[in-house]
Amino acid sequence: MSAAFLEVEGLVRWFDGVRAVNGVSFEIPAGAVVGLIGANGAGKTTTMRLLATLDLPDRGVIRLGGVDVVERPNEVRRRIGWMPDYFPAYKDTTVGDYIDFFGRANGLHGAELLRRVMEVTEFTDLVPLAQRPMDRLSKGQTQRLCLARTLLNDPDFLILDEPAAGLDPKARLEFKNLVRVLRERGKTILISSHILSELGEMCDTLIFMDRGAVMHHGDTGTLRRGGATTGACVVDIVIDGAVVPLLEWLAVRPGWKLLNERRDGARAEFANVEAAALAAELRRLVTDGVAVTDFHREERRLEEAFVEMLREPPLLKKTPPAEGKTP
Amino acid sequence: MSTVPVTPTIPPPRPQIDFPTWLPAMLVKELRQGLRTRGFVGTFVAFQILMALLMMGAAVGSDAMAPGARAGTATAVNGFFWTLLTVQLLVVTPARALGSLQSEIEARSLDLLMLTRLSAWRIVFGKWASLVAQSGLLLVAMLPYGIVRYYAGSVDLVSDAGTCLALLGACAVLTAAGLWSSGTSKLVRVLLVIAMVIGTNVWRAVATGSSAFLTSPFRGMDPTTLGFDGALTLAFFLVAAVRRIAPPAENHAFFARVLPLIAMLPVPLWALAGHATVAGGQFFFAGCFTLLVCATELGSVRTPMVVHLRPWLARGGLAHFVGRFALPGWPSALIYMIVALAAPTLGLMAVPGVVPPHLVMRVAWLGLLALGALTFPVAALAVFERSAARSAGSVYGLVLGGMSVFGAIAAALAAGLPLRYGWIKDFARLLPVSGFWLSLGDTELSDSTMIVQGGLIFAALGFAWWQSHAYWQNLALIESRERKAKL
Repeated sequence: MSAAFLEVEGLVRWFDGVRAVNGVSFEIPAGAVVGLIGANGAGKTTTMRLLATLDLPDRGVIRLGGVDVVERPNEVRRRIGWMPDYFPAYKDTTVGDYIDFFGRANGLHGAELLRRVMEVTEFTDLVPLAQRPMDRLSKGQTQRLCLARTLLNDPDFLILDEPAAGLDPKARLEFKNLVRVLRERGKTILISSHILSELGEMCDTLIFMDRGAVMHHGDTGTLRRGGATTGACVVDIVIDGAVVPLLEWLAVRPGWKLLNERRDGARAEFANVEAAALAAELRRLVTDGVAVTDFHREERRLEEAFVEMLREPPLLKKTPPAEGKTP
Repeated sequence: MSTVPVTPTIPPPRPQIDFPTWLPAMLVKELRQGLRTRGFVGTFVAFQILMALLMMGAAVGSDAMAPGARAGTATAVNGFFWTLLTVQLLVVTPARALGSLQSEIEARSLDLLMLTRLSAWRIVFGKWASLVAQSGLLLVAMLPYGIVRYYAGSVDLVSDAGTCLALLGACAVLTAAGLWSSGTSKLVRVLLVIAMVIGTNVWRAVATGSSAFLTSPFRGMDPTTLGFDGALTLAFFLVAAVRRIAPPAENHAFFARVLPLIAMLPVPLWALAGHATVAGGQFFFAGCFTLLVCATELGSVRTPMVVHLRPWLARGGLAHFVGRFALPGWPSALIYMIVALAAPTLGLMAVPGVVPPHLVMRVAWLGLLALGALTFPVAALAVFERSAARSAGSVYGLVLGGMSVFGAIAAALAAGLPLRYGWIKDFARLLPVSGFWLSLGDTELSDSTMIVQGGLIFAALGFAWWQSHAYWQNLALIESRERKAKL
């Protein structure tokens, strides 16, 4: 990965007096796969539409590869592929015609058009379906067609809004594989989804949004370990022999809090998430004579982390809209 | 997925050889869809069957007929032939255009199109060209029957070719108008069709009782001028359709607003060349066209953005000044309208011979009434600006249409009911919109009527001007920010 490919600073978007996007800022490095998580109405789709040049921010700056999205939208559009959470099907149109049309619409001609159409059709395994009317596709096939359309202009940056929604497990797995291949090809990808476990597997970092604001942006490991919001981590310690020495150690040692004890050990919270600090504590535990046989940091499910994020106080504020909007 | 091998039995994606790859993408897509629709295929087949049956009947019958009866058959065949063509080109094709953009909006496919290299212009042009091309195809397919008519009577090839071209031209304009209205809601489209039917009849009723200047506006106009006017109307409807789907950062106001000025250009040329009738006809067209453009421009509550201003600021000086007349939103359209209506009217009165001397003052007063008629809905729009922002054009059109209908009802009541209802017409004559329509048919207006009309017009203008204060303040703020940024 390299320096920031996508820079978002202080993004604000109003809809009917409500801040749908409320000062959103984040950066995505080139080649990263980033997940965008949030409840319905959190501002994910609005943020994605702003990134895709389909809407204008009331305030804030978006730069893609150094190019201002608001100032030079046409330049940005050539570098992005947007897959919305809906599929607008055309009547009386086959899969082949649909891909061919979007190839032409992206400025491809002649042999280049045919080559590119073949490439994306094969990549998304739509070759057998080329002659099928597009309104007779299954949900999984439809999503693949959507992805094929998105890839036609060979974009650097892919914005995938709920790509796995409504897919059966097999189609979801296939889609995940496609994302993996795209990542290997160096694409920068922003995915929003409600299926957090899958996002955790696919993404390098996750952005949690709530009520238009970014609550957290970090790697999935940090979120699972719980340090992102509490500044503490939970450790499970197993010992050999009596548990009393461990309980005494936890009671006197600063930064530790016993959560619950067992016959062979205890669960405790340590008020520091740094790996080095935790390693130092383990060394100290051993040198202090506690017979440690197992010591591991507990990880939460992403769903738990998400719920925890939502407990954070709201950041919503109301200020007048900026220029360019209806007063 | 990509790991699945492509077996030799599965055909590869069909090479798109139906249309060459250099053709505009949108045109190809629309043609592919359009030529497969049941509507097109059904119409195509039905026309062929109907014409074939008619021709066979006429050919079989004509052998046994007396010469007089043959002439009757020829008239019937001609009538049927032209009726079919007219229905297809002037009714069916524009009707198909009526739902064209709305279907894209409802399917939410416009966003996907905008992310490609297709601009709003290309999307609209592709749809329009496809519909006209399909009509052209139907026309060409009908031509053999045009020739076969010879056996059922006689054929004037030159005249028929001219009629075909005129029909195709009218089809092109009406299809563009259909596309423009297709960006609106279904209710507005229905109202537009009703308004068009009522408006045509009201116009005919009004024109019947008015002067020769109004009754035969296009008398003596040559096909070139009519073609010129048709092209301008076509361009207006296309740009209006483009604006329905264009992103907010795009400003098409300049293009739309310059069209009436172009329409006005031939007027002094014809007048100076001594063709006063043609100049009068062209002035009439340009006047109506200006009213249409102003009405659509004023029905917008958009506020200017920095991207709209930049092209004008960059050129500085005069361009900066001109830019104020070409920004989106009704306040800019308001100052444009004042200039667009006042300048030609004053200019026209300065050129001798274009307007008969006894009509000069009347034309000037009608110009002022038109100004008031178009400003009054703006004042109403300004009051409800916040709630009407999304459907400003519809609100503007409804106020304008409602007031016009009120004028028509008042005129009808005054004409058909006892004298005691005459006050309704007098009252309607005083109001800005209905007053304009009713004054078209009046040769004389009393001083008191003119004072009240004038007072209301200036009140509407003043109120609208006051309401536009925030717009101009915002504009000044953007300009000052832009200047600071440059420094």
